[in-house]
Amino acid sequence: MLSIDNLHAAVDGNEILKGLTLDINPGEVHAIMGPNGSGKSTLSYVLAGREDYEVTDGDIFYDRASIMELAPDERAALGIFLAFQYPVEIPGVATTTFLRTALNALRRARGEDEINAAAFLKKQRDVANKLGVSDEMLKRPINVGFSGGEKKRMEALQMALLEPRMVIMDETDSGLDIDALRIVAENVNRLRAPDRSFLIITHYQRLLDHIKPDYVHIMADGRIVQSGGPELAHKLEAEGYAAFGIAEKAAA
Amino acid sequence: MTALPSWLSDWRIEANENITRLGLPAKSESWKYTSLPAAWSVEKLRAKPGSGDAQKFRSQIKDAITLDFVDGKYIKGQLPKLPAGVIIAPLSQQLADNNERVRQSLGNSTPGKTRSLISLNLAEFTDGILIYVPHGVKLDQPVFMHSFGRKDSVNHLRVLVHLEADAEATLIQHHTSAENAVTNIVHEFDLGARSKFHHYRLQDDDQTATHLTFTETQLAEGSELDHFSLTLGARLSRHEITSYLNGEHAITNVNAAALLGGTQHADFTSVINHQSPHCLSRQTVKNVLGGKSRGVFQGKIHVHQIAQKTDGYQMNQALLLSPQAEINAKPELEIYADDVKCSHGATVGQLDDNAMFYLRSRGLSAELARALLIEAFLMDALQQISKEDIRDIFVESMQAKQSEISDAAGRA
Ligand SMILES: Nc1ncnc2c1ncn2[C@@H]1O[C@H](COP(=O)(O)OP(=O)(O)O)[C@@H](O)[C@H]1O
Ligand SMILES: [Mg+2]
Repeated sequence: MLSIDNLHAAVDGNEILKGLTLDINPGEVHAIMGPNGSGKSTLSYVLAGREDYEVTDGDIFYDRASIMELAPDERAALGIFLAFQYPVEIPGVATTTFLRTALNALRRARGEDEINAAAFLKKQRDVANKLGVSDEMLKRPINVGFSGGEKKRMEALQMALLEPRMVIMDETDSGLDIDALRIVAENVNRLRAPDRSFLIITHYQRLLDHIKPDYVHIMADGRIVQSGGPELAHKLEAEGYAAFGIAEKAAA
Repeated sequence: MTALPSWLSDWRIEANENITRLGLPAKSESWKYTSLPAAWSVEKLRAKPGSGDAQKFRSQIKDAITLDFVDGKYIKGQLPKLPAGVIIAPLSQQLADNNERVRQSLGNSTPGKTRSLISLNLAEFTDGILIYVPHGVKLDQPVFMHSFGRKDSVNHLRVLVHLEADAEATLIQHHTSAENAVTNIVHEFDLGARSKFHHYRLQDDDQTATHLTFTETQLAEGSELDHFSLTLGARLSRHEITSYLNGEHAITNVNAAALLGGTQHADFTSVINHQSPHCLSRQTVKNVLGGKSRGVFQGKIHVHQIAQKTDGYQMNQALLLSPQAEINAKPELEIYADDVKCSHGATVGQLDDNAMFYLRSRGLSAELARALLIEAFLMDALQQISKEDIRDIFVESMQAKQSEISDAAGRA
């Protein structure tokens, strides 16, 4: 489904991704763990098509075609979704207006009919209920005044609403308490499907207790340094990055 | 206008003398960033009809009292039966009847002796509106004025509003003039004690038109002006708005937004005269500037020595959509009282890259994301229009203009 081949990427001339290779097949859940500053968020942005990240080498294939030249919205239309580590606050745009605009933009791009207001509200209510998001939050401007946890729930809500095929979650677990973590994890598990894949970026084993990954990758300094099964996450939890020969920087 | 009252003929002679003496506005402190085309003369700006068809237009406001003007003349309207004593009428008609109220209101607050465009308006106005609301009467129905100047027309209009104590009224103006039309409209508002006047202007003239506006408001004790201007049209426009807070606890809200593209130039110049204690002024002025457009905001708050406990606030924000767009902002606080609360702020920014990326990552095209962010930026100014059906008209026009600008940006 997603194939990342020897990816090199730079910001402001600094190379951050230094030859990252990763293959994700349909239906698989992959986890990436790595110390702060190893380039995890950079990877997520590059996958989503952020323009100020310059890909200097390598390629990204989605459904076997390179997406390198595609804009973020074109990638979204193909089914790529990024749950942001730091969701952006946008004053003046009501969340529900935004959600409907996004859903309809995706539907148009995929050649589907727009959803009518009533059907949209029903759909929105369904996912909001499952994620414990209140009506009041949906009326507020996008992420404005939301707590860290509320922002992460809203990301999870968008994921559920927009029904992507390739989900990238960048530290969705940070800022969530145990209950919220369980709710978000249940949401992911519910969405797991043979034609939907996940790339879950996290620092902590605890999310992976709820969402069982098929593969775990350890990332350091812009590369994947080791790949394996869920046991890697346990080893990391027990022994720290030192066990992988990685010197962990002070928390950024 | 046929059969002018003799007093007006006399005033016009005087007005013409002023114009001759003053000439058209030249570079000055007040006309710092804006100038009329060098080739223009007073003679070119005398009232004249244009050519072509008049536009078909229908107000979208239910139950509004409507007055439609073409080339500066009242042509039709919907003037239902009004509460006793209320006058809402074309100025031409009132002058023909030689209504004493016109003479009382006209030129009351406009120091035309020093401003040639106001003198020119006095000498040339062909029509306008008189709104008079007696003591305690609150008009529920808004007055809706539509003005259309045909191609190459020069329109001089005068709008006189007099609210007696505790009265309330709403005036909405929608301008949609054609190519190269020139409009010079002067508003004089006289607000009695505790009266409340809502004034919403939507200037959506053709992109080649010129639009000059003066708004002068006298506010008695406890009265309130609630003003909002949305500028979308005209190649060159300038609105000079002055409030005189004459009685205690008067309130003036002078809010404006502009959405410009191409080579449009829009100047919003305000002067708030706090000349009585305990008055409040609020200003939010927003400019969204694309293409090579230029926005000008000059905002002066003048607090006289007597005006203790003045509460003045002014905010000017600009969003630049292109590197060639420009905002000139000149806030000016002139404070002679010592116990006052006055603040002003200004921001200039571009569309936020993070916000653009976030929206696009959810599937919104660049155009759609940009439109949403521009709308969000302007919305908080448009929220000042408290009545929803009126606000909708403004929002729709703004959105239409927004997509024009985006299309132009997309092609660039
Ligand atoms: N916009 C940026 N400009 C400059 N440096 C950046 C930028 N974004 C990230 N970096 C740098 O790139 C490295 C990787 O950052 P990031 O991808 O956020 O790591 P992680 O998500 O793994 O903590 C860090 O050293 C960070 O300082
Ligand atoms: Mg990160």
